[in-house]
Amino acid sequence: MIFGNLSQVVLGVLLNGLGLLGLVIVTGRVRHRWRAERDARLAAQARPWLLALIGGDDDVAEPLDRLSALGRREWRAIMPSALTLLAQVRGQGHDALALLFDRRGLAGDALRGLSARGAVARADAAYVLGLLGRIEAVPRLRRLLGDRDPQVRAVAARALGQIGDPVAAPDLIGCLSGARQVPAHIVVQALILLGPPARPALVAALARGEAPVRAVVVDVLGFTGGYAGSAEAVPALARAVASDPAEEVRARAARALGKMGTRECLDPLLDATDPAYPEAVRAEAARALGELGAVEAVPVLRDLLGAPGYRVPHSAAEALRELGPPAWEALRVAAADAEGPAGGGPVAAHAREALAVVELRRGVRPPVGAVARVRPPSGH
Amino acid sequence: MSGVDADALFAAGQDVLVAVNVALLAYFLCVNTSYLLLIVLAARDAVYQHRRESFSGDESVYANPLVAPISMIMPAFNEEAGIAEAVRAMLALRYPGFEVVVVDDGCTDGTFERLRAEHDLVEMPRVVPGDIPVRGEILSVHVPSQGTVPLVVVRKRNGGRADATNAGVNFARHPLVCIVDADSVLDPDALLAVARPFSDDPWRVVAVGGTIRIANGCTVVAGRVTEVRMPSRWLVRIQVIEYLRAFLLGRTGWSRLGGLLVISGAFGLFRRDLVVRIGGMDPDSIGEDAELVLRLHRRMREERADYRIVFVSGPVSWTEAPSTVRVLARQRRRWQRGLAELMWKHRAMIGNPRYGRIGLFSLPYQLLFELLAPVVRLGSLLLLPAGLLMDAVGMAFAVWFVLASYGYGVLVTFTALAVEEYAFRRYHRWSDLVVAAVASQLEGLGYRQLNAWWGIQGIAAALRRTPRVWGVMTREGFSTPGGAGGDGGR
Repeated sequence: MIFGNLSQVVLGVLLNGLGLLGLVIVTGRVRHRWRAERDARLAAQARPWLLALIGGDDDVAEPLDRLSALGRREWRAIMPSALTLLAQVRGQGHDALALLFDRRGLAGDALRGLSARGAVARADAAYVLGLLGRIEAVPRLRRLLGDRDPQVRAVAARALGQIGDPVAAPDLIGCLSGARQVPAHIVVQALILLGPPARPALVAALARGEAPVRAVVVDVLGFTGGYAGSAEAVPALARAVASDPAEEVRARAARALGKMGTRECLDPLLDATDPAYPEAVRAEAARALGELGAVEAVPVLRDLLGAPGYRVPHSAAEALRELGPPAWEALRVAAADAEGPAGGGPVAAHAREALAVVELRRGVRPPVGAVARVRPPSGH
Repeated sequence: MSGVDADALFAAGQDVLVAVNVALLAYFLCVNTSYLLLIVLAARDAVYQHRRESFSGDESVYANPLVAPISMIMPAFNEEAGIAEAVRAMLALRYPGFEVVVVDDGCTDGTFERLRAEHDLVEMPRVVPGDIPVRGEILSVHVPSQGTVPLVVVRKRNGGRADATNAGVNFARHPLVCIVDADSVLDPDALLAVARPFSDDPWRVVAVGGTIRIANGCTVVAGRVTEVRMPSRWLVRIQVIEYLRAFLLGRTGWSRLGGLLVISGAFGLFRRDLVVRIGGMDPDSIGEDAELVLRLHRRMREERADYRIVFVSGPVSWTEAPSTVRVLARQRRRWQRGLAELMWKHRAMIGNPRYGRIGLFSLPYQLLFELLAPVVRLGSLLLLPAGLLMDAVGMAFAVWFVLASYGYGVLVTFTALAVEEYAFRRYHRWSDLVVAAVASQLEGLGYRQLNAWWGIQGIAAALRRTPRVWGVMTREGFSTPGGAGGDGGR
């Protein structure tokens, strides 16, 4: 009896639930389509003015007036396109769009939105301010790097990079560790956008940060060091290659030296190919020497072809491949030296593979070659 | 036997049947409730992502100069029909740095010749790190004569999918390896999306799974799914619903709980160094993709590493699903056998607190609600009628039973459809919606029972330890405009 009555109730609940879900699905689809069509129609009407605004014409007064006067609904329809363009265009077009956002009061709204209660509103505000490049937002965006919502922190970091005020560099580095972090790739991009003025903060962080922080810092130094910054960056990176407690940081520092590409990078990289260094660091150093384009490295790289394992000799062969004719000659000698009944050892195999790529790049089909298998070093 | 004894025995039988049927009812309630909870978790995740779409910065991953490059590994066995298009599609993906490694696993058809003709392949000498032991001998390595195309084709003797994947990992030059099927079609931004967790949390994320959706019925142009439609056959339509509920939303939910056990071999991204460290895929496992993930969990837990294995619902790999009962049966037997062997191999982890949520939660769930589900489902088909015949349970109980197993199941699937409609909106036609609603109801009327039967056969094969056979997946291909269509064409 209990089962009977209860099953009727449950059946009713199930049927009503199914009906409700069906209704939710159908009304959701209808509403979504209706909105999408309406927004597309409204956006199509305003889009010519938006394009005229960023078109580079001197007289932007009319499109600016037209777009400023759009109703709330029309503006909501065109705003996603305006934001996309704001992120993509530079120069006059960007300035005109920024003026439009100012006129519509959106910059002020965004500044106020940074202290909104909802995380989505805070992130939205930070996003707009970053695109607008509003330097007055920097202090509050720096505070948002410690926001409780991870996405707000990420958007604030990105915005700080877009605004480009180097005062934010220590805060950006700081949010690579601790309880409220920002993903490293976002911080890297922001720090790269800050450019050389951020270098002192980076060099300082290399001396005291945690391993994941130092790893990011060496990456950024590799991108922002350049010729002008080599006096500061190279010694710091060289120290990291030689003595950082984390192997990953040492390997990344070697890669960064290769990216910087100045003559000062040569000696630390040559040192890092020494057998006393870990395999990963030696392999990165060998590859970086190829990237550096230093022909002086050929003898060292040639010797590395005989190193145990796969990574170091393979990187050395790849580096020699990139260093031009003198290095190719060294590869030919290595390939010929070791030729024997079994086709030579790993040295020859690495050399032959590199030479085959050289030939291919020159449009010459390489001779058919065997696949050589190199066992990982013991303890791998 | 006296009449009294017979009555007592009958009464005892009735009691047992009542107890078993109540347990079965509770089981179905638990299964469906667990799915509902996973879908609710997935829905929360979808709402969270949707609200933050405008400032999510997905494009920033593309612009990131330090993004980790990826080696796409495509093990191929007799994929002549679609390999050229599949590789072309892979090479056209949007990602800052990647290579495609096709492993010709002893193909006996024209797979390699198709690739050679398409890319003017030349044989190259190559040194390979023997990081993972490979059973099938490597025969040759080929690259396009136009050296700028990031493609490597490795020819080896047949050793099975896992062995071919291991060979591909050995040849992979990049720190991340993405394992995909040779007949899959990825969304253009799928790599960017699936790699995002590695960018966001590079020190902890060790593997990421992407979504698998069914491509039958969809239109594919130049290696891209250009129009998503429901397949024409009900057997495949029901699988679309099943994939949505179990593979998309179910795995999203598990990922939120930190207990994801399965990353499909058709679309998974892994850290190469860790795959090497655990010895690659097990060539003796018939469910090698799940086994790899479970072994990763095991190693990470044993090393007390702070790690994450996650699932992302956005990026999609479109794959062809079985469109005949025969092929579907073979696939499901293999899946269930793979699961049974996986559970047996890693039985020490089940219920073991050392393995955290995986040992205490995910594995017991898999054991109870996935491995044993076929037994329970078919058992209920026998025991409920038996209970009714012996007057152990009444019709009211039977109605309850059907409501808990079938009705509740349909409700759960409708919830999944609602989430699909709000979060993903892949199917645009109204007719697709109607088909999906009907398929949700048909799933419980024969399809699940057939699956249960095949599942039991799979478990039996695992117990008997019969030779493992992958079997041939008969491909019908995707619809292409102007081509032979239906669910097929390729």
